[in-house]
Amino acid sequence: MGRWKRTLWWSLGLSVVLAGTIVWSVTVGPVNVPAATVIQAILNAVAIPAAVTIDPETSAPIAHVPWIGIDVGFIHPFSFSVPRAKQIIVAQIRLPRIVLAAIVGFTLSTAGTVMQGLFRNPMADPSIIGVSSGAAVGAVMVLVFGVSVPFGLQGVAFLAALITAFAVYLIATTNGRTPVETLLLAGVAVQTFLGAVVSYLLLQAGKSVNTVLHWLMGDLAAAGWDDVTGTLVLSLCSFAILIVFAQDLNVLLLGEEQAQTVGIDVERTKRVLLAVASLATAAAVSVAGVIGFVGLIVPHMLRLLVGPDHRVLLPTSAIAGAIFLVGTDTVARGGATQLPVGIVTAALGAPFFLYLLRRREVHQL
Amino acid sequence: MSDPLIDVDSVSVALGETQILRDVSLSVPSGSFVALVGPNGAGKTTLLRAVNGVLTPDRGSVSIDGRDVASLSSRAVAQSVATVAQDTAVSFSFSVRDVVAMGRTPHRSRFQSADQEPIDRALERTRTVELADRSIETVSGGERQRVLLARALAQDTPALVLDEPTASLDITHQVRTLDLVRTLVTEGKTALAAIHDLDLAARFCDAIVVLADGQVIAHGSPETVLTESVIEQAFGAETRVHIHENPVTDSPSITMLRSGDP
Repeated sequence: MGRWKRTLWWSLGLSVVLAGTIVWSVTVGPVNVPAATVIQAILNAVAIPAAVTIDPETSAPIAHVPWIGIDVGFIHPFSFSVPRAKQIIVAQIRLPRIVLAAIVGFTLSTAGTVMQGLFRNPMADPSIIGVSSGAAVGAVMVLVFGVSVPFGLQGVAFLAALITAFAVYLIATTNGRTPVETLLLAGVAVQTFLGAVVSYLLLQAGKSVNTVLHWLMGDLAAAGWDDVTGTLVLSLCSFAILIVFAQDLNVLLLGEEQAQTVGIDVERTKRVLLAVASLATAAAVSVAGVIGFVGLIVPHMLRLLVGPDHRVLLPTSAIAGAIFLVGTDTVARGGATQLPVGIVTAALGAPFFLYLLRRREVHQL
Repeated sequence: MSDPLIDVDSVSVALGETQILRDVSLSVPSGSFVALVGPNGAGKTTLLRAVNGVLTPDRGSVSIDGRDVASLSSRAVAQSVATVAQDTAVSFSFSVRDVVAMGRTPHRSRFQSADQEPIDRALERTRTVELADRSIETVSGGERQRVLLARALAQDTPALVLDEPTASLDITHQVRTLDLVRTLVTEGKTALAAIHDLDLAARFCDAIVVLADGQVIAHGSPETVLTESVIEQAFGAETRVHIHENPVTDSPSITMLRSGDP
């Protein structure tokens, strides 16, 4: 089968699994909502932006786009009869969290695939250059000191993540060259340092320690549709850029020197990939907290299934990451006590990874 | 022979504190096959890395087809010189065809698929067609060397730089590989290769450059360069060699002597 066909079929198949996982996930919760009702409620919530100038009489809800200053009318193509309470539970309470889980999983898995390829290192993960640690320091500072900041906790976490990644990049760069080995070690050192900062802040946390711990373990509980929009835009833009560089990532697997001799501008390519993957990771962890393991394990699983070609691997592992995080988050919130999703991803992911490690050759890219 | 395709002009390179190349100049005429010989650590690989643009010389310049390599983009350099590197360790499961297709990188835009025709031709020339669908990880060292040569051919460049292309090959494949390079040169390519085996260099190349301790100590046809004094100067005071004409190939052949030999 040709590469395009393989990409298409795998992506389609995985998308169907994702849709199924999402529907199943919506049915799980304290109030019982059957799958058929879930599908109807989701379809009811589908809104297609129809017109900028609208007649409020004919097309119902109007969204106001503040920074452009226009009103957008939506058409709701479906109107199944679903009890109002269940419609709200599905569309306003469960779905935002699930969609956010899907986007965060998609993003972390994409970034993890890129980092593993770029570093030619199977242990590389999305925050290998310190993005998560930076976000953690930002978020924990806001929570512990209770300061009110213009862009909220997420804005601070996002900025701190990007500042950290950029600092690690600067530390590892001399004469315009950034050897990945130096980058990796600089990342480890900076993460250790920031870990110490977070630990110290935890000691000062007092009453907020519980909230802080939840954030550090990765938690999607507070998700609303506002979180979804921003993350979705950043995530999709990053993905679009990274997929354009898929073949460059393949060539980089030959080693940087050989990549250069077949015409890749190695340093420039590394800069772009690092910046975009870090931006995507920062967008994900700033809304979801530190969710480990997705970006490490999902790319390996998909490499076993579809092979090392990033043109196939990137889209498929992105969708698989979404499936993985929606599934694990459902387990996290479906039990007797609500757990942070980071605990579940690690608790389920690690044994599964060990199983793969024993059975197949995961130690190679 | 016409104008030099590869022209190395007074190149000096230091890596860290160590001076690797001192004021090296050499030229490879268009349509010729030049061997770079010399002891381990003489700077052969470093010189080849300066030619293919991986390294920028501290002093001096390298030009290919009259264009200064340092001023070109890596894409432009890769359109004029292809490299078969010495370090061929690979740990990923791309198919042989995928690896060869990577040689097309400098010729295509980001959204195009690779042109299959040059890839097929490169696979045929290097007799790797039957390996095309195998994973690069599962082929032998010698086969891998041919795959990397195929990748360099797919790059479709006037100049070819090879670093020890026969190092991991058995004697049959050594001769076949150099024979192929020779044929490609006859067809118009220009090749510069680091070669350990002096006999093979003498047999297949138009000219030999002897590099020792970062400097060119001899440059010319095999017969003029491969003399006992040059070899002994290049490979150190303890070296004694006997040079005779190989009755089959009519090229100089070198026998290393031990201290006890007559």
